[in-house]
Amino acid sequence: MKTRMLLGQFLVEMKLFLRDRQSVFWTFFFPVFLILLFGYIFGKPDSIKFNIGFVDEDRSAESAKLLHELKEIPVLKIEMQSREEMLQQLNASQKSLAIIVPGGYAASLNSGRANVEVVYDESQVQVNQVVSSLLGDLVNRINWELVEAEPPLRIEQRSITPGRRNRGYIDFLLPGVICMSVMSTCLFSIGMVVVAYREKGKLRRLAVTPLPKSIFIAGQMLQRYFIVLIQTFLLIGIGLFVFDVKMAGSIVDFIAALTVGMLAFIALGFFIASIAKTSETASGIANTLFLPMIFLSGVYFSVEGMPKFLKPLVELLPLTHLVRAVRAIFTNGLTFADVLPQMGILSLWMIVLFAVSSKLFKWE
Amino acid sequence: MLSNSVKLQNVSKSYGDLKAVDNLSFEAKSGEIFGLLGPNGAGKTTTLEMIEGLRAADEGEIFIDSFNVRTELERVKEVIGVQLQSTSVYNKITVGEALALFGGYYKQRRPVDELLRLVALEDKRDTYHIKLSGGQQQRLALALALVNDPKVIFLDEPTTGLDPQARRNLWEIIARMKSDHKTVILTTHYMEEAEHLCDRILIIDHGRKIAEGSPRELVAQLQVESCLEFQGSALLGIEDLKRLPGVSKVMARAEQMEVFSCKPQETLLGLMELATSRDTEIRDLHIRRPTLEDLFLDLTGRSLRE
Repeated sequence: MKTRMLLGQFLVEMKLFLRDRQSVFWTFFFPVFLILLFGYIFGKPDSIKFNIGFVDEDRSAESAKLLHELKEIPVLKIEMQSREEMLQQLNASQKSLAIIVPGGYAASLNSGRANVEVVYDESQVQVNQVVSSLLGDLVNRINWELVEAEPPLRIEQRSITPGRRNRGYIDFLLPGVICMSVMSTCLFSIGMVVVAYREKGKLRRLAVTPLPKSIFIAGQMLQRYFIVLIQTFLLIGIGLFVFDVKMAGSIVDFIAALTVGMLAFIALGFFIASIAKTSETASGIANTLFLPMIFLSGVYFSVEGMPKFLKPLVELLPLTHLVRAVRAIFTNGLTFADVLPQMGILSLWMIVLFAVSSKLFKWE
Repeated sequence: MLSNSVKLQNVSKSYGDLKAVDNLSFEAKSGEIFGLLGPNGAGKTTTLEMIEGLRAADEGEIFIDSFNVRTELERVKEVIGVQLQSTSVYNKITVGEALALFGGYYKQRRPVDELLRLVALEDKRDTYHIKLSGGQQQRLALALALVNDPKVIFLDEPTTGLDPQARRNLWEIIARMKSDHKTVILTTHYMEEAEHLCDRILIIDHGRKIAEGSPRELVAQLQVESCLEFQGSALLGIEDLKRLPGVSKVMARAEQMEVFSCKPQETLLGLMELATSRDTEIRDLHIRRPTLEDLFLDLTGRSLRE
């Protein structure tokens, strides 16, 4: 009897969801679209190209050698141009950086006092940082060659996941977007749907039937869980087949960690439902929580570079811990046991929020 | 023995300082259509909600069949059918799906086809709830109240907001419930609805019982036989109308006059003479029997729809 009721609730919630085109779009197409978009922009290691101007006023064998070396760097796209052309393009923001080899470069190189100039647009911080460090490395190498010596100190780079292909932003982004989808499915559906049902008297209508409230809630949760699983496999599939991103850890551990996170966010959804009187308020609260979490929890970019005063907040947010745990399993192949501290924090959130909402929640 | 009765004993309910229901007792007998009548805010809906178990009574006991609503709510829920004021099903669920879903909540349930036939929605089986007209939505709500073949059915203002045709349709369906030996308790503020449908009526105002009985008995309390309604000028004079033979009461709203009389024939003759002598015309004259509306006005001094 109870199982049949639960199945009935699950199926009706599923039908209602599939018939609501908007929620289908936001649940499935939006995260997929996001992954494809960012994946194509930043994902493939060779897809990033910085347009660099190159002004050769020396026209010597030495300057040609420098140009050749620059062209060897994969992320740089070098364009030969005159100084005037280059300046004009910089000012028009068509380029953000240019290298000038001044006249007499070859001669001064032989006397050991050569300069190349770098002109850049200060507002293009990211490009400047990357290109400057690349140039620094290059110049360093040339210097050692010129003095015909080996550098005494070298860097030996070693990945924590050896033997795997070059990883890119997509490896970072994919687990983050999966966590974001889990959060939005729980936050925007459970909380708001319950408030809307309450507003329209649907909960009252159910309250006069023998349907236990626990089954009604369980049906909602089960349907959301199902959606989350579909979302997750869809995104993992796209990562695998479109971007060749493989999960390092076990899928069972991955789903287990997501499930814990999902329960915490369902609790958050119910918490919203228990403090919001109208669906407008609920939507406002959900958005207020959603946006900062997206940006402060390391979904799109690492939280390492956050200002210090934000750190305590970052560490408080449940999404931070879910993203951290899920990413560790997905990208670095950790196990569920390794992410138990994060799971503990999420469980704590879940317990506190469920406890508070069960006190505050009203069916009418 | 068939015992689908609903019994309230000294039930009270307050919201803060407001006494919504004040020491109310009544019994709706098995197989009867029982009307709760009163203006908005009289306490009808609160009373229904207490019987349905949606709200707990502050004082008093409520029984459905032999079950106490306070202590045996789970058993009560199996045998009642409820239609709430706002139609409250999911938007994008079809009529057939809604009936099957709600049926699944009960141990005992009626086949969907039978329910569809009962409320004449056979051809809307695959239509989304949101695409139904107001009357069709009300009929679906009614069918949902019948999914468990309940002993007692509660209808909260079932025809509010419907056009006359849709209202007639609904009345037919409700009247059919009676022939199925169901007990129906309905609230309404349409007097004609109560007169048409109900076996017995309880009139409440400010949460208190002010009259109870069959529509005929209640109207008889007015001790008038007829009401003369017409349009006439102020020249007639209310005091003069009151002095006409057989007149018990005169109501005037601008030019709309209502003269209550226990001797309509004599009153009518007197009225004609009065109009002729004042050289004024009487328009739209007709004689009707008094209604519950008149009774309510008489009892409370207020109109039901105010």
